[in-house]
Amino acid sequence: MDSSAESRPIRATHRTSSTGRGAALEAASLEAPSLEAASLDVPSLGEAAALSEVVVRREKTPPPARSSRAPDPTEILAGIRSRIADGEELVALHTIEARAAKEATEVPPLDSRLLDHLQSKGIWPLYSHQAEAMNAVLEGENIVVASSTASGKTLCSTVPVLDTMMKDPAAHALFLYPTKALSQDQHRHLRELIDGVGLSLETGIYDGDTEPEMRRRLRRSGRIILSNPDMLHASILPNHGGWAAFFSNLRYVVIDEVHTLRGIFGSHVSSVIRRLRRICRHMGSDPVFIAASATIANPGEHVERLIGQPVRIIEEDGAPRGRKHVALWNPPLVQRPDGTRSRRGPASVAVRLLPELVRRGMRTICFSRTRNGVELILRYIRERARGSVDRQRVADQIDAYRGGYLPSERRRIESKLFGGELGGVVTTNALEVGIDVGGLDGCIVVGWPGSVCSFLQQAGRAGRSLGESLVFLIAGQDPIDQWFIRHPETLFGSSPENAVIETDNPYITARHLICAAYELPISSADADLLGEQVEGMCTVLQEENRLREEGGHWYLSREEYPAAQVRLRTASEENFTILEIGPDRIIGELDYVAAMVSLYEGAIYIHRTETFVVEQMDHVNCLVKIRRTDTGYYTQALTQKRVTVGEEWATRSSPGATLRLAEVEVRTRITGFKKVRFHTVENIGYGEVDLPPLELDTVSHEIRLERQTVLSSENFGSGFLRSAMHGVARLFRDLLALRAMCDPNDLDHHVDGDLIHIYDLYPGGIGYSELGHEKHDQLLEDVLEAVVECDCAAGCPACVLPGSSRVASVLDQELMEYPYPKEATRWLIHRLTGRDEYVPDLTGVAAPAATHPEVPCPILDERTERKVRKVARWNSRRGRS
Amino acid sequence: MKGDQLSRLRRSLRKNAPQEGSRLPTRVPDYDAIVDHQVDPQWIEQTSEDVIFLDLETTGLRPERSLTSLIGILYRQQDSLRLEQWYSGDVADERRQLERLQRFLGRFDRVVTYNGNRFDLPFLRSRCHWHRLGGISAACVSSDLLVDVRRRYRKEWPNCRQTTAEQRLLGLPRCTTDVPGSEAPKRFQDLRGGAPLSVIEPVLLHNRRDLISLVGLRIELLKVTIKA
Repeated sequence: MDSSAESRPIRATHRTSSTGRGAALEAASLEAPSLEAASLDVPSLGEAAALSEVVVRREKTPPPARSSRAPDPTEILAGIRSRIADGEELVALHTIEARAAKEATEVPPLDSRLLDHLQSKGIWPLYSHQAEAMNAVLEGENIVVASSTASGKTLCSTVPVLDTMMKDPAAHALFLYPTKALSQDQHRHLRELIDGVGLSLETGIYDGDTEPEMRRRLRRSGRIILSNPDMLHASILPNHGGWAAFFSNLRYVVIDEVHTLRGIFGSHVSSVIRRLRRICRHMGSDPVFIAASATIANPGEHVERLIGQPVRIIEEDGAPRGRKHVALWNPPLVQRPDGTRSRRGPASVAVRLLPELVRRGMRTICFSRTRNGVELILRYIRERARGSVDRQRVADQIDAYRGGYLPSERRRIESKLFGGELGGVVTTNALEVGIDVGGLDGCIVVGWPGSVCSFLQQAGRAGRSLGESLVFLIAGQDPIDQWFIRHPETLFGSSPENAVIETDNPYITARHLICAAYELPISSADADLLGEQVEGMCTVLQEENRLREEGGHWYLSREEYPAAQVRLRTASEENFTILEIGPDRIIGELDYVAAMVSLYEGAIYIHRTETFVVEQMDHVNCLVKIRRTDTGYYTQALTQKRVTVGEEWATRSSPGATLRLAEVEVRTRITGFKKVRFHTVENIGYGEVDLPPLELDTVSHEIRLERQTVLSSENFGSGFLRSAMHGVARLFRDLLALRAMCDPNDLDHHVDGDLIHIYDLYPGGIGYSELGHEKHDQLLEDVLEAVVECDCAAGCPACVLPGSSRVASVLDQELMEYPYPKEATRWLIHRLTGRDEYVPDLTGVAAPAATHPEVPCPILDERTERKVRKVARWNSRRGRS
Repeated sequence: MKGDQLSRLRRSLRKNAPQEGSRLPTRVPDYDAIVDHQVDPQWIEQTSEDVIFLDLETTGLRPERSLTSLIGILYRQQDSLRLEQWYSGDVADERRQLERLQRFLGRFDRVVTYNGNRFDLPFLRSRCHWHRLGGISAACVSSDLLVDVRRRYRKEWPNCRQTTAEQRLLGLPRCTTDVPGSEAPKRFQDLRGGAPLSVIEPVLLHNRRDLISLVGLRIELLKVTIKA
C-alpha cells in the first residue's frame, strides 16, 4: 500500500451501557469498508485511568510521511498500517493521554546526604507519591505503593530505609522479593544508591545460593538482608536465635511485587509474615512494612490481609507519562491449503512487526507467553532477514531474553538493552517485573498474557521516557483474545484483577503453627498474630501428637524441623544444566519441571535460533546433554491425564448425578512427542518417551452423571455432552474459587466419560473441593446464572469457554470446535439442578473456534506448565525422601 | 470447624507427619539425695543455707540451638547437703524444669557456679527468654568460682579447669571412669535419639561430682581470699 495515503478516522460515540453483544456486532461490522469508527465512552480504572477514547479505525490510509528522524508513533503506526497491517487487522486504537508529573510540594525530612545524592542524580524533585510514601514510612506507617510501572516505586522504600540507617546505626531491614533473579537485580540498584550516598552498610542476598561464609557474615553484621519468603520460612525464622541482633533491631520489612503473593503461595506467605512479626515482638522490635505492588484492584485489602495490619495505600501516581497508543491487532483469516480458513498466528505478525519498529528506530520489547515462543520468534526474524543487508542489520539488533539463559548471558543482554545497543528484545514475562531495561518506545504483546494485571505490566514497559509510545496487543486464536478483539472497550475499561489470599485456611495455618512452635512456644497471647482459633488448633495438633502443652504453652512434641515439611510454593528451585556435546560447553539451564516436560531424549531444544537435539538426560546429576543439529522441525510433548479415585470421604445423590468427595490420584503422563515442521503445523513424525508419570495425590469433588442424562444427551449429537460437561466444570471451578477466595489456578478440573472432577491442585488437598462438595447445589445455581446472564450468543470466555489458558491438548481442541457450548452447558445444568428439560437451540452464530496456530503452539502453555510443575515438584520430593 | 472438616484436616496432618523423630522423650526420674556421707563434715557447717550450687548439662553450647538437659543443684537443708538433678527430655520438659528452678532460686541469695557468668547463667537466661518466662536469678547474686580461681592462680597453674582446681585445692583425683564434660551433649543427644538410659549415667555422675566439689572449692577459695 502506498504510504502517503491519508487515514480519516471518524468517531461515533456509544453509551457506556451499550451491551457487549452490541459492541461485538459493532466490531464485527468493521470488516466492511466504511468510514465509521467508534469512540467508546467507557469509565476506566487503574493504568487505563487516563484513558480518553477508543478509536476504531478501519481505513488504512496513513498521513503523509514526514522526514523527521525521531520516531513518531503516530507516523510509525501509519507506516505499519500500510506496510504490514492488512485491511481490517488493526481493530482498535486506544490512546492513553500524557500526564504531567505531579511533584511533591513538601520535601520529606531526609538526611542531607541523601537529598544531595538524589539531586545530583536528577531524581529531583520527588513525585508526589514518592514524597507521600517516604513521609508515611518515616512516621512509622505501613504502606503499599501501587503506582504504575516505572514510577519510581523502589525509591519509596530504599530512601526512607537508608535515611533511618543513617540516623540509627543499629537499625536493620529485610527486603523480600518473590524471585532470586529479582533480588540480584535489586541488590545492584541498592548498592549503587548506598555507594552513591557514600554510606558503609553491609548488605547482601541471603538465599539458597549464598555461600556458608557469606551467610555467617550476613547473620552477624548484615544491615540490609535481601531474601525471599521461602528462605525466610525455611531458614531464617527457625534459626532466629542466630539472628538476634537482626531481629531485635528490625525496623523495616520491604515486600516487593506483592501482587505475586496470591493464591496458596500468598496464603503461605501471610502465615510466614505472622511468624516473622511474632519473633520480632519477642525480640522487642515492631517493623514497619513497605509493600510495592503492580496495579491490582485491591492493593490495600491485599496487603492488610498479607501482613495482618492496617496499611496506607499510596495509589495516586505522580510520575509523568507520555502519550501511549495501544493498538489491538487481529491477524487476518487466511485460506489454508486444505481449504479451511483460519487466522494467522500472532507470532507471525510479531515476526514482521518487531523488525519494522526497530528499523524505524523504536526500541521495542516483545513479550511472548512461552520460552519456546521467544526462541521461535527470534529464529523466524533471523531467517527472514537472510539475503538482505538492511534486514540483517536490523535483525542483529534484536535478541532474545528468557529464563534458562546463564546469568552472565542475561546480564550481558540486559546491559546491551539498557545501553541502547539492542534495538529490540523478545522475552517472556521474565522482563515483566522489576528488572530495569531503560526507556523503551514500543511494546508488542503476542497473545493475551492471561490477566489484565499482566497486560498492564507488560504495556507499562514501554513509554518509560516522556515521549510517545506504542503498544500492540496481537490477538491469538484463543477465545479470550478474540473476545477482546470484539469488545476492545472491555479491555481498556476493565480494572485489573483482585489478588486473593486466604488467611485462615486450616490446612495452611495448622502447618505453620507447627513451624511457629519450633521457633517459640505458642500461647493464647499469640492469638492476635496467629489467629483467634490458635488455641483450638493447638489442641487438635496436640491430639495429633504434633504439639504438647506445658504451662499454658505449646511445644513441639517431637524432635523435628517442621519448616522442611512445608513448601510455600511447589515450583522447583533446582535446575538442569544444559551441556552441548562437542564443544562441551554449558549453554543454559532449565528448572526441574520445565526440563522434565520439554527435554526428553529426542526432543529439540532451541537456544537463540539454533536447534539442538537432546541426546541424554542425566536425572541424577541434573544434566542434559544436547548436540547441535540442523533440524527442520521442533518437538511438542503429548500428555495424557488420568484421575483415579482412592478412598471415598462422602457421597450423596443430587438431581441427575451422584456426588462424591474422595481422595484421588491425578497422573499426568508424557506419552510421546510429535515432530512439527517449522513454519507449519505439519506433523512429520512421532517419538516415544519413557518418563515416569507426574503424580498428585489430592482431594476431588466428583460429579457422576446419571445414565439417563448421558442417554438423553445423545439426541443432540456428538460433542454435545462433552462440551456441556466442560462448560459446567470450568464455571464450577471458577465460581468455587470465588467462594473459596482462592486463585482459580489452585483448582483444576478433569472430564472423563460421565465424570467431572474438580480437585485441589495441592498435595493432600487444601479444602477447596470439600467446599465444592458442600456447596454443590448453590454453586450450580451460580453457574446457571453466569451462563444465562452472559450476553454472548453461543458461548464466550466470560462464561463457558476456557479463558486465559491455551488449548493444552488435542482433546481440548476438539472440544473447542463444538459450536454451541453455551446451549449445551445450559441443558446440562437444568438436568443437574432438577429443573425442567431445557431445549437447546443448536442453530445460529457459532462460538469462536480455536484453529491451528500459524507459528507453533508452545510446548506447554504457562498455566499447564505451572500445574505440571506443582505436581512434579511434589513428586520429586517424594521420590527423594 | 465442623466435625467432618476436622477429621479431614487430621487425616491430612497425619499424612504429612514425618516418620522419623516421633519418639517420645525418655523419662528420667529426678535424682534427689542427701550427700553428707560424700563430703567433709566441716563443709556442711561452713555452707550457709542461703547458698545454692548450680551446674547445667546441655545439648550444645549455643542456647538458641540447645536444650538444658540437666539442671543439677545442691544446697544445705538444715544439717545436711541435698543434691537434686532434674532432667529435660524435650522443650516442654525444659519449660517445666526452668519454671521449677525459677521458683527454687527465689529461696536463695547466692548462686555458686564454675564458669556460670560466662555459660550457665546466660544460657539459662536465654532459654527462659525463649520460653517466655521472666528472667532468672535476678534476686540471686552470682558467685562464679572460676573468676576467683583465675584471679588467684592463673599464673601458677597450667589451666584453670574445675578438675585442676579440685586436684590442687582439694587433692581430689578424678576417678578414671569419669567422662569429660564435653561429651555430655553427645550423650544427651544419643538418649534423645533412642539410646538406653545407661548412656547418660556417667554424665549424671559427673554432674554430681562437680556439684559436690563446688562446695569444697568455695570453702577453700574463701579461706584463700580471707588470708589475702
